[in-house]
This record gives sequence, structure tokens and C-alpha cells, in this order.
Amino acid sequence: MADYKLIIKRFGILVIAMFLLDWGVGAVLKHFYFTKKNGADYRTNHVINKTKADVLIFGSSKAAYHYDTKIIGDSLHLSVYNAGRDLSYIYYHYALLEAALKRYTPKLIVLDTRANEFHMFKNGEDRDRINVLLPYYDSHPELRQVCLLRGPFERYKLLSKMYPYNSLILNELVELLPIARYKKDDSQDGYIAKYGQFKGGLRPYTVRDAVDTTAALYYKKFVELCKLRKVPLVVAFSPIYQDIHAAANRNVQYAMQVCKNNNVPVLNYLRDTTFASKPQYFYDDLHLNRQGSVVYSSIIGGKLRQLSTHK
Amino acid sequence: MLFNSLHFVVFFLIVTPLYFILPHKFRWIMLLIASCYFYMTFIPIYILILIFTIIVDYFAGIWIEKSEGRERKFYLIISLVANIGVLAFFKYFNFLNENLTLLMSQFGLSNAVPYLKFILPVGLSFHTFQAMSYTIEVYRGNQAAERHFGIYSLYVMFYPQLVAGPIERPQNLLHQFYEKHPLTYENFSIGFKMILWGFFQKLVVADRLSIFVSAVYQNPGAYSSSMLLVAILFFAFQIYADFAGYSNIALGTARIMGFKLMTNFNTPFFSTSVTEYWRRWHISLNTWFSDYLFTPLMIANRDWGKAAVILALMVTFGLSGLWHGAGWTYIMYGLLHGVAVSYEFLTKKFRKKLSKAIPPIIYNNVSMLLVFTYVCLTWVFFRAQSWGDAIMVLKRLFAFQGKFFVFDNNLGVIIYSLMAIAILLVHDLSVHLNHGKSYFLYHKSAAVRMATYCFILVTIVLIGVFDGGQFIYFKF
Repeated sequence: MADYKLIIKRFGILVIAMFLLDWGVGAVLKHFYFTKKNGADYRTNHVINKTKADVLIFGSSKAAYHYDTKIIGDSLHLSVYNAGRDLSYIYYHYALLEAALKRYTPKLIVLDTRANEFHMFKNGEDRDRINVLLPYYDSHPELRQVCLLRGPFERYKLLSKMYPYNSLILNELVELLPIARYKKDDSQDGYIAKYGQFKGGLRPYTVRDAVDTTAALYYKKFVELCKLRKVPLVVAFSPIYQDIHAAANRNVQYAMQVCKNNNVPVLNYLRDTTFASKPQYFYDDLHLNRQGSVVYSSIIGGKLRQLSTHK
Repeated sequence: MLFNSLHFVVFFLIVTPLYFILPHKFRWIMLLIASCYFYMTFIPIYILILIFTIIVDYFAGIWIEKSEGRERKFYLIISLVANIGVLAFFKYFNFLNENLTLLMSQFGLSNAVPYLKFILPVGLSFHTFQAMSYTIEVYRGNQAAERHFGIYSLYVMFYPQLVAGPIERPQNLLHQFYEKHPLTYENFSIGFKMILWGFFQKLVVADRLSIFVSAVYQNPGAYSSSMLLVAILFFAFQIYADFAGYSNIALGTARIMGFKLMTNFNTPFFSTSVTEYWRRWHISLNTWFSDYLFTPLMIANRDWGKAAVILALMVTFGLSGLWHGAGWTYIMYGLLHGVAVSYEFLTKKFRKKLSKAIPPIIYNNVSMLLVFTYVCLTWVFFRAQSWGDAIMVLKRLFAFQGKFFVFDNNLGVIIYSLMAIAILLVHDLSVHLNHGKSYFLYHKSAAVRMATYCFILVTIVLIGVFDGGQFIYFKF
């Protein structure tokens, strides 16, 4: 009997200590997270809580590296913010759109769509990457639906105040460095220039094109949400330096079909001749470098202007 | 049901209190039902395989004990054939068939035997080896045949060690099912520490490292020599943390209920020879091979002198490699260790002289480094998806190709991984220097212990990879 009491007492102390630690460490991490001045988390926070840009560009790293906000803004005479983020997927884009639309109505939205937008990740990497939205779970109810896609037990894990910062601690630790507190955002309104030139050759596009139904559903929801809120949407496929046959690719065709059903204009530059034989425009076989992004942004800016004039 | 799932947490929180609430005479029934449920959460139908081998071995044990001479041997052979037959059919059939096809094609013949399509029953190699251990020990007269069918079934199916060991011996485990185990603070405390550290090893180290390792091994041709080197080093820590993590959780869950299972890992990366490494790595499997294969083989050929030892070593390590998986890469992994242990056996005197000529601190640390390097290189065969990939990894590694640092999106993953490895090594060093007990987890000061628990829990929450996937050794 004495052992029972001792176990309960010691275990109770540990539970209380952990509860206090969770609360305390969680509060500290939250403070550092929401007072960041630069980096990907800062940009996510900016889109969710602050931006009032006329044009919002959504997408993954391709969006972040390909759309020069100054060139596109000058072309449209509108303010532009690039909400693209490395290793983000449609769930992230959709959540950000929901949060932004809750605050204001942009004049135009561009969604950069990857050729493997609906790729079926065996290890659930796409859902795993939703972790960057977890710090907003408590404060932004509109993001909860997406956060819970991570798994059936996610809502219970999110009872912890530290858990939303799981795998983000490194960014938080960097923020503790004195210099980081004063460093301004190194992007240009979300646009990140990549310097360097792709040295490899043209290789066939080999990514399997089976469509993940959940990703496809969220893509459709993204398009329909824009339609519902009467925000003009343009879908763009930015260039890659891989030999892809877009007409036979199920991912590309699904996106095209959704756009067609909702009267969304599509700008397909996946293998556009301006870029198709010019490796000097690429940073690697999936991303444009600074030089390529300038050319691409000029083209996209012009096209967007044309589309808005026609309307 | 994976140990690193909330499903298991719920299961554990129901089964453990129930075990202590029930009167002793009903506990084995509850444990057996819980173990059946645990196993059936994978592929339910495969429990029939377990039932088949349990029935065969249960009766074989009794008949072996009752009979004499050749009849006794006959029953042992029946038991071994049943166990090895099941293992061979499910695990090695396609491998043998594939090699037969290859061999026949050399003579222009085609192989009409079809390939079988099924998923390997989880933990098959573990529970068949544990079952064989029972009948062999009864045959040798070291263990009385178990008359209680339920208790014998539980010996094979005891859920903490059912799917990934440790591979227990009947002398250590069977009698524990008859003993009354009250809930004690000591057992609870030791079990809790083991489980906590096991989860840290799995969630913070193994699953974190697997992110980078999997990316590299999926496409090794795309990575520079330096990145391949990082992946090779990371895999050594990944598999150690994965398997030792599983073992710790298994030992811990059993210990809370009062069961003492055998230790499976003892800081293997601090070994100063490959021979010592194998005394510290997957101890339950290696002692199994030593007791039931290596020693009998060596004794049978003792007239051959040193050649008998070398032969026994190569056969044992080759089969140990094959035990891990049906593939030539696994056999190669085993043979490479066989070569190293044979080399150490043949150069024992020379190395002893050398160790006296060099200051121990230098000799031991250099030896440790050499053993770790060699072990890491052998893991390439274990981890690579094919023979071709393994060769490619090694070729590219020594070709010094590509930029030294190509981190891009990997930088964060690598830094987290290094943090995890650093904590693991500090803990293991403290175990190594503190006679097998963690300096921090078993510190005499309650405050230090509590701080350690909190540190581990906070690290798990902040760096742990949740829903990272199954334990590597489950597939064996």
C-alpha cells in the first residue's frame, strides 16, 4: 500500500511539474514566435495576421522563388505579397487563404500549382508539414480543420502548449541570438531570389502522378473559396527544367479541370519555350534563379494585366 | 499496434492497472487476451500461425521430456521443422525462388514456381526463435516441459516482447508467470525510466534521423560524398536508437508488471572490438546464435582447431545476417561481421601485445573509432534498398564527389539530428561510465532525476517526430 502512495505522490509531482513546464515553455516559445522579424514563420504570420496586399501569391517554394513582387506590382500598379513557402502544400495554401480572407478581400489571387500538386506521399510528408500552422490553432479557429488533418489524435496533442512549436524550436533558438531580433525580413514581400545556375541536363519527369484525393479536395476548396468570396483567381504553372508531358499528367489535368469548371484562367509555363532550353534561367531543375524569375515575373505581370483589362 | 502510438498508450493504461487489480490466478488469462489483441491489431489472421507453432511446440516439449534416445531427437526435429518451416515459407520462399529463377536462367531454363504475395507476419523471426529456444532447452534437459498450455502460450505471446524481442529463454521467463508480482515503487520507477528513455530514443533520435537517412537512401546517386557520409553515420545511430528504444519500452512495460526481461543493448558504440560489439548489440539474438549454433558447430568440428572457430563464426554470422532479411545484402552484412570477428580471433595475441605498447587511453579510443567506422560501413549493406545501391553508396562515398556542404532544406534536419545524437551519446556515456546505469536517470538526488525526466519529456514534445512510423525491427 505504501508503494501505491509513493508512486501516486512521485508521479503526481512529475505531472504537475510537466504541466507548469508545458505552460511556461509554451508561453516563451509563443512570444518568440509571434515577435519574429524575419524568416518563413514571420512571413506566414504576416499573411495570416497583417498583410493587406492587393495581390496575394500562393504556392510552395516555386511560388516563393519565381514571383518577383516588385516586377508584378509595377506591372499591375498594385501592392503584391508572395505567400509562397518552402515545403508547403495545398493544405497550407488553403489555410492561409482562409485566414487572409477572414480579415480582408484582396483584388487578385495567384495560385502557383506544381506538376505534382496532388502527389500521394507514402509517409504523409504533406500533412506533416502542416505543423507550421499549429501555433495558430488556438487563436485562429478557421485553421483548425486543416491542422487536424495531421492525424486523428492531433486535437489531443494540441492540448499541450509546447507541442505547436514541435520542430520549430530551432527557429526559436536562432531568434534568441541578439542579432536576429533586429534583422529585417530577408525576402522582398515574400519573394526570395535564388542565385546560382543549374548545371545538370534535361531529364524526364518521373514523379508518379496518382492523385491524392484529400489534396485534390483542398485544391478544389481553394478555387471555390475564391469564387464564393468573389476574388479573381489565376492559376499558374511556373517552369521546370524537366521533360514533362503535361497533357498526359493526371495531376496537371486534374488542376486544369477544376479551373475549367470554375472559369479560372490558367497560365501554363511548365515547358514554355522561353525557358524550356535555357538552363541558365534555373537554380535547379525545379526552380528558377534570380535571372529566370525576373523574366518569368515580367511575363506573368503582363499576362495578369491583360487578364484584368479584359475583365 | 506500435509502441509509439496513442493506441498503445491507451492499451497500456488499461492492461497494466487491470493486471494489478485482478487476482493472481486470473492474470495470465488477461495477459494472454491482451497479447492476442496486441498481435491481432497488425494482421488478425496471422495469429493462426502463432497458434500452430504454439500447439506443435507445446506437445513437442512434453513428448521430448517423456521420451528417450532417438525418439526424443525425433520430437525436437518435428518442432524445429515446424518453426523453421513457417519462417522459411513466409520469409525466405520468394528469396529462394528468385535465386532459383536466376540460377535456372543461366542454363536457359525457366522457373515455373510462382512468387507468393503476402505481407510478412510481424515479428515472425522473434517468436519462432523464442519458441525454438524452448524445445531445445527441454531437449537439453535445462528446462522442464511446461504443462500449462495457457502459460506456454503466454511465454511465446507475451506482448511486450512478442514482435521485436528480446528473444527470451524459458529459464528466465516461464517461471515469472507463476510468481506473484505486486506493484512496487522500484519496479514502477525502473520501468518508467526505461519507457521514457525508449520513447526518447525512438521519437527524438531514430525517427528524426530517419528523415534524412530515408531521403538519401531513396536516391543515393543524387547526393555528394559528404552527404552520404552523414547518412551512413546517421543510420548507425538511427537503427541503434530505433531498436534499443523498442527494447527499452518492452523491458519497461514488462518491468512495471514485475517481469524482468533480458537486457538487449549495452552501449554498443563504446565497444573496442567487433567481438565486444556483438556482446553489447542485440544481446538476446546473439546469445541465441551462440548457444544454439556457434557453440554446437564449434564443438562438432573441434578437431579442426582454429579452422573450426572460423567456420563456426562465418556460418553463424552469415545466418545471423539472413535472419535479419531475405536478401544478399543482409547476408553480406552478416559475413562482414564474421570476417571482422574472425580477424580479431586470429590476431588476439598480437593485439594484446599492441595494447600493452600503446597508452590505454589512445588504444581504446582509436579501437572504438575503428570499430564504429567498420560497423557503420557494414550498415550500408543493411540499409541500402538493393545490392546495386549499396555498391553505389560505397563507391560514391570514396570517390569524394560533389560539394562538401549541400544542405539546402536539409540543414534544419541535420541540426536537429545532431542535437538528438549529442543527447543520446551523453546519456550512453554516462551509462558506460556508471556501471550500466544512467548517471542522470538513476541519480541519488530526486531533484536531478526529476529534472532529467522533465528534460526528456520537453525534448520529446519539442523535437520528437510523432507518427514517424514503425520500428525497423518489426519487419524481421
